[in-house]
Amino acid sequence: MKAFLHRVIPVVLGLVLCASAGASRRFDAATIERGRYLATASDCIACHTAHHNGAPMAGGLVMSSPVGDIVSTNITPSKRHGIGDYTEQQFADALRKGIRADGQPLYPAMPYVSYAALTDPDVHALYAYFMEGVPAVEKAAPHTSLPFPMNVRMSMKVWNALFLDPQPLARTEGRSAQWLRGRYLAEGAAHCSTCHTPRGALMQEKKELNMAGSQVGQWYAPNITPHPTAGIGSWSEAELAQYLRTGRLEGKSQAAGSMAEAITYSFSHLEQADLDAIAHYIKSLPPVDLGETGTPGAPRFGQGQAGHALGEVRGQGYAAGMAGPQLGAQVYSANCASCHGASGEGTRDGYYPSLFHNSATVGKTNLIAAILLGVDRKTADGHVFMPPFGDQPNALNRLSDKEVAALANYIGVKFGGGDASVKPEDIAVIRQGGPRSPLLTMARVGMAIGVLVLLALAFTIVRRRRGKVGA
Amino acid sequence: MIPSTISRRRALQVLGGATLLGAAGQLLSASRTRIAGELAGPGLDAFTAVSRTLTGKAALDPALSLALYHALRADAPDFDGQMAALAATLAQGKALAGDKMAFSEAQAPQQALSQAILQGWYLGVVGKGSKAVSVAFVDALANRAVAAVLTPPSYSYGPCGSWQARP
Amino acid sequence: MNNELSADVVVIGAGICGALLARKLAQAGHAVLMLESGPRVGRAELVERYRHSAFKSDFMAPYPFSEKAPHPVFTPQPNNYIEQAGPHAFSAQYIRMLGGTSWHWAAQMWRYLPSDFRTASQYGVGKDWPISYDELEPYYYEAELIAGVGGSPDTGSPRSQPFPMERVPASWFQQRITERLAPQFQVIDDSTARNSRSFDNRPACCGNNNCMPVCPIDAQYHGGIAAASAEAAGVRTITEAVVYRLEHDAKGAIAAAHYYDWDKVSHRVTGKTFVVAANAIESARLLLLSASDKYPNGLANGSDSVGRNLCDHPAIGVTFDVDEPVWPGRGPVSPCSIGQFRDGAFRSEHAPFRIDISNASQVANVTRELIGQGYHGVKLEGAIRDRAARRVSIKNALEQLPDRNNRVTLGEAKDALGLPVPRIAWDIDDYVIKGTEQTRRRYDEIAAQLGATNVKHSKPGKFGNRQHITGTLSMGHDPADSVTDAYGRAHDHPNLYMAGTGVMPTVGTCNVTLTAVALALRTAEKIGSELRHA
Repeated sequence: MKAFLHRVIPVVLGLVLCASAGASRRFDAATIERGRYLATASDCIACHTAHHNGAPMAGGLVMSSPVGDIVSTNITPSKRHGIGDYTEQQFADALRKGIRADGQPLYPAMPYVSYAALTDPDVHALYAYFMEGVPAVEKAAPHTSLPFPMNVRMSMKVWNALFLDPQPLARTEGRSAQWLRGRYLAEGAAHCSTCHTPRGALMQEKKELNMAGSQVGQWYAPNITPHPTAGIGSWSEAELAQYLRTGRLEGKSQAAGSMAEAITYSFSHLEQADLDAIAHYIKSLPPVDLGETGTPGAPRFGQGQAGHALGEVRGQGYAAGMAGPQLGAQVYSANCASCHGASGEGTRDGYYPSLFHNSATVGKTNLIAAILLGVDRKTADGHVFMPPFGDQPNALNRLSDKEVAALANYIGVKFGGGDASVKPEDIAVIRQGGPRSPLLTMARVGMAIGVLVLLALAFTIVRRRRGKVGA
Repeated sequence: MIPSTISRRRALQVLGGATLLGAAGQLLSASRTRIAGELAGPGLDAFTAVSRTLTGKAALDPALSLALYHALRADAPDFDGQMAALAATLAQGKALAGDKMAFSEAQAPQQALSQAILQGWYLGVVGKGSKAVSVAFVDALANRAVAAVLTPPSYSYGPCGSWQARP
Repeated sequence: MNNELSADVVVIGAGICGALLARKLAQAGHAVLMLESGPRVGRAELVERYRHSAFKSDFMAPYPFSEKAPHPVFTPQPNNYIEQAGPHAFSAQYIRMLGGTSWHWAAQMWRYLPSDFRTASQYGVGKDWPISYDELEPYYYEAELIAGVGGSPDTGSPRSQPFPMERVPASWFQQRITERLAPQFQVIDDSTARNSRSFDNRPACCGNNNCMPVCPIDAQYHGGIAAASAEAAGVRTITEAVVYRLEHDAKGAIAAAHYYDWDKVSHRVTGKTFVVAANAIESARLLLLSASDKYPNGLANGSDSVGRNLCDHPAIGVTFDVDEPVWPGRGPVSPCSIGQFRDGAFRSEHAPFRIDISNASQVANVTRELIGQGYHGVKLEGAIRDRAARRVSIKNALEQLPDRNNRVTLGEAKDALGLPVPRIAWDIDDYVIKGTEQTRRRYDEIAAQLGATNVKHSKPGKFGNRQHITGTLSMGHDPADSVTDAYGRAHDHPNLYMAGTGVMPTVGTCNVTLTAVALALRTAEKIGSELRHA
């Protein structure tokens, strides 16, 4: 439904706006359409629209970040509640410099670090789309208020001075047009590195480890460098383009969480030539191995094999199975096997994927997130739906931290080449939104130390003065 | 994923054997190790041999054989003795000569025992009434026999509508 | 005694009807309390209990038996919870658990035919309902929207709106049977609450072929989903609460419900309006248990009709082996049926019937049969494949006419809480017997058209119960021979309502749940408007 609204309503209302007597149109239809395509490639809608019937681009989506919750803003052309009063220069500054119209910096949850690559004509087209292609929504989005000192936006100016590169795409020689287009989209509009690149202590992207994998809230955005075992070196360019278009590569991987969203709202709508260009570029990146996942030397798509432990639990009854040492096997049989098969083999044609030869079961995070949050992905191929097993209203089987940990260990060992190292505490962390960054504590401690140092300094100065006076 | 060049049935047969062996080896819990230790021996071997004769299969899952033997023994204390007698009768060659069993009137208990063993292998159920217990479901031979076309009830067949195609 | 609980509306029984009635009232802003005698059990446990079960063809086996909220059990031994006065045993199956009996069904949600509501005036048999099809039609649709119902529109039940759910695609089995039985027999898609796409945050059917006893993935609607949605809407739910008496005041208004928790501590719950929705047998039992000095025959029983007019759909079946492999067992368990014998002038003479063609896997059945026949070795395995591919199982649902002598009363024995168990007297009338003769003729024709061998009819004189239990709380215009009015309100007690299949005066020609749910939604509306104007 949202995709439908996203596509049809702007066009229809654009036409209506054309026809209405009072409105004066500054932009032609072709520019607005190019802006719409670029907005799709940039996936603005995914963050700037609240889930469950939010109006498109009207903000209100609460995003859990390691330093607190950030709420997206209304970027419809509403003058009171949105960006209707923005000039093109202000729009460009927000997009590429992370500065709002009132001069305050934005938080880099808005990937202006990537969008800094956008060219002037493309920014112009985007401006045209947001001014005249998006219906105005007269409703304010809630404000973001991060805990102190993160709510002091001016500190972002220092961060930007350190980490915002106004020309993020270096000049190169001898690269094909397809590679350049791919880099422009992947590093710019599609902002892949925002999720897939690991971050440093101050939460800046570590460019030397570009696309080597990073935790994003409850999910792990995996290594997409062409490393043969740690990354997607075993994928062809055509396979990567197919994955972007459909969200699935049989026998290898499927998209969930934010990537499923990105595929549903962005990648699946891009032209094949652009998908091919992105794939071509990504496959040209330097291969990196962070040593994160699975059995060393084996790619994360080739781990595990079919199997079950039903012999351990049959003949005893459900209650005994749940109380005994085979908790993981019993939970698997009771909750997962109905779709994923008694031996993890999935269904014919992989509609319900097998759990071996599946990158989702390698490593801990995405396995846990998939269990707790499920998968919900719509493309032209259809609707892929795995129900969640967390605390959601439609989770008719709510699994406890202990049950999910046992299940994740069972699946990880049996199908993912892993060890049984998941603990109930790991589940609790994912359930509450993902790991918290130490940055907040560091900042507060740093400030406290700073205050103490100043106090000590002041004390020393006062004492010396008194001393001088007294002497 | 199972390559499409191998028939699904063949793949499942291979997987089934491998997984049961794997399961038996990998995840043999302490109690099952103890049971396996207690039960291994001529009694289990005789049961497995009789099972091969009755099912006509040269290779039977060792883990399922163990589980069935354990359950059948619990159901009938003199099971080993009954096994020996049944093996002797079957060795005479008459009872299983035709498509259907042909035990004599006097051997009716042995026919019942043979059918109970077949029920265990094919349906995974041992015993009757309050003493009935299910020791296998997906690995029961009846489910394996039709695995090229059907998945056992409660496991998914495929995406909605995939059952339209002719099997 | 604990006296703290109170609500605007107290609903007794958290099955599909009670839960959806409660939910509708909670959504309208009323304070609703739902009391369920049984426990809360998760789906994962039920699925695994099925897989662990040695009696997989007993659909009750996965459902735990609760001593304090007993229900009939059949395997491994019958518990004889219901005393059977005969002549025919009424083998009722119901589940006392949060969500009720529709946990194990095939989600068949049929509308009655218009003539089902007026068989007395039209055919001179049975009873007329106090409402018409047209009056119930909007509530039929409301229920279909909630549950996601789809199917063939050629049912004989007129629709103002199309089905909200696209029908589930037909398996190869259904396609072949349909082709070969045409044109003499028209096989249609059943009206079912089964997802053919993701709906209501539940996945589409993926062919687990386990609808009965339990859908492992909730692709079909059932009372458990209704109960969860009621709780999500703000209905306060207390499980393991066995209501054993309704207390009334001097004027006959219901003042409170008394329940035992499972430690046999009694609690008293007050409210403005009370709804008994504890299935057709247990609801009648509760009304009879609530007998007092003023109402020595039980509550709502001025007509001496509580528990009477008990009906089910008696069923006979046939199995045979078709002459080509058709492979039942792929897709849902009850996908199609023949409806052309539901209506017609013949209803003055003999029972109408609906014929259900099962798509349940026949593997276990044929295996048991073949082992019993002495097959062994390689031949056994080949025979299993051959027969499982060709075995067809058909059963019907015959309309039984209401008879006051078919009734639920209180028995001699007592359950674990000291409450008298239900006792049932039930007989099969000539109307049904003549209907079975017609059915057998049709079965033979169907078998012939499919080139069938090994045709086995169910034993003459023996009937199965379809568990479509109606009549014990019949609605009607006349307080002299009905328990409730057209809204399910007890004639004798203005603040007592009833919901569930028990209020249905006739059992009709199809599965009864959709009609019961539609009536419950209509009753909820009535209760709501009465509370607003009070």
